[in-house]
Amino acid sequence: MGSEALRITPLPQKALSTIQRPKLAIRIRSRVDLQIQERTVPPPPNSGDRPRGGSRTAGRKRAGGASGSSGGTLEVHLDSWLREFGPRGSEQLQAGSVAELLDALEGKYPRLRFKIRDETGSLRRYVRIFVDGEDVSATTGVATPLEGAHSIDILHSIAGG
Amino acid sequence: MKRDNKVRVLVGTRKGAYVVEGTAQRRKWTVGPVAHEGNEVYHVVADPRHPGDLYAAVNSGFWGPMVYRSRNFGKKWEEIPAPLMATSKSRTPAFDEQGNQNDVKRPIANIWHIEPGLASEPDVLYLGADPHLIFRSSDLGSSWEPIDAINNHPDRKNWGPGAGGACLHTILIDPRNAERLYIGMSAVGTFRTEDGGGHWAPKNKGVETPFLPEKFPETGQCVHHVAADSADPDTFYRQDHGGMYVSHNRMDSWTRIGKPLGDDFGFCVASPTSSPGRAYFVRLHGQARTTGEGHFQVYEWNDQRRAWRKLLSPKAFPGDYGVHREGIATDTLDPAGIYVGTTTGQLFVSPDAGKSWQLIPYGFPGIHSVSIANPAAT
Repeated sequence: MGSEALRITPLPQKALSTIQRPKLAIRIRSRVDLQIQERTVPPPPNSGDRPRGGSRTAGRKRAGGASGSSGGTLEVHLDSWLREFGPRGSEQLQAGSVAELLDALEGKYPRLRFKIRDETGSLRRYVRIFVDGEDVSATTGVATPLEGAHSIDILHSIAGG
Repeated sequence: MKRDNKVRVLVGTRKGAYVVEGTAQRRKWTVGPVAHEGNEVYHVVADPRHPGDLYAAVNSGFWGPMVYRSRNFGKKWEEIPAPLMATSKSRTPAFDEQGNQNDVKRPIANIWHIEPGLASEPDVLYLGADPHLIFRSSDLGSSWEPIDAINNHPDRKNWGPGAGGACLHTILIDPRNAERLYIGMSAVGTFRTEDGGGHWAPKNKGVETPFLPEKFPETGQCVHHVAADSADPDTFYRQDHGGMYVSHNRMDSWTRIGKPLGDDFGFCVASPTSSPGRAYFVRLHGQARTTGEGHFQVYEWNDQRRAWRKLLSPKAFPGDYGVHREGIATDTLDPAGIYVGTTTGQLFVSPDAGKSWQLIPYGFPGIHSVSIANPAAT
């Protein structure tokens, strides 16, 4: 955060011509861009059977329910904006559901608390969670079971102006 | 951090926070540092008890509301806890288990205002948020306690939001008595407590509600902002949806003063330390929500003479400008500096109580708030 100072003379026209604007680090990148640029591990073996990006209405049906760890290790990727509050790279965690995964992540990185979920436990409006490439944000959400899953992407959605 | 003689204008915008530094003459200005880029910053405020300390209410569209603190006038910022963080794994909000009250089950939407306590309480902060919430910190923001008498007020079911949300945007502390607080809430009105927040009484007598069937209800007024008079802590100036008002009795009653202006709508008001009995308003067209006269204008209310005065020539700054509720501020110098930020990113400055004006030659994002980190007392 922060940028270099800018000296302004009291004469507007002259000052405007000599202005050196501070750097504004506002970056708006599409969800697709982020997936391509930030994925650091190969996609899971079955990812070729399902389109990347998933369907927001598809939901996710897995055996095992929302409780209990699958025992497998999940590769968790956060987008660059979230890295201000959490891990700078990918993270390997075990969890039986998205909620458990977020609990584990927030336990390890306390500044992530209430960034992905609000204080009622709901996903924030412009957060998208992909399980093996399938967007579960608007379907099974935090209750999504993770048995058999390999990869989790936590991204911000396209919004703003 | 050591005090210095700089005047710093703290600007909260739609896309970040700016610190604009000037000398005591207030003729030359330096823009920067900039922080929280891309985030809505509803309020930035200096803590005069701890020189160098700034607090920012940062409301991210993606990650929710956050509070940041700087210890060096904005060069570096650190995130500190925001209120309403759950302490239990169940993530139950820290208040309102009754489930039958208005919209308190939803998460905190935005943080609107941060108010440092009096010098006699050097670690106290207050914070106002949407939906109609107030919190108190006794450890400079490391933790926050909800003020339940407002946050669980039995009338909440009747409190609705204004167009900007259910904002608790004004918090004023009586400089003689830290237990006496005043708050302003959109579409609810002003309240006063005499016991540090344990009990609150609505204080809207005389304030008209042109948007309700009842002309003078006890609550429901959409107060936009209130400023206290620097010399008389019992006197307040109020910009309400229903006009401009003054109270001389700790808000027990209000008198409308804006009618001579015709349309006395607006959002902001400020009263300077060096000119007791004066208040500055930016009158807006009630529907357009801009200055509406084809130029920028600030109106000065002289409470002794009970008279209005325009501070700018119509030729000075042509255009139609909007100003938000925290968009005007005054400093503690004599003559007073007046600072106005607009919704289209202009920052106007008068270093001499309105006699002359300059436009800071920098295009800010739309400005939500302007406040001042004053220089050392002279």
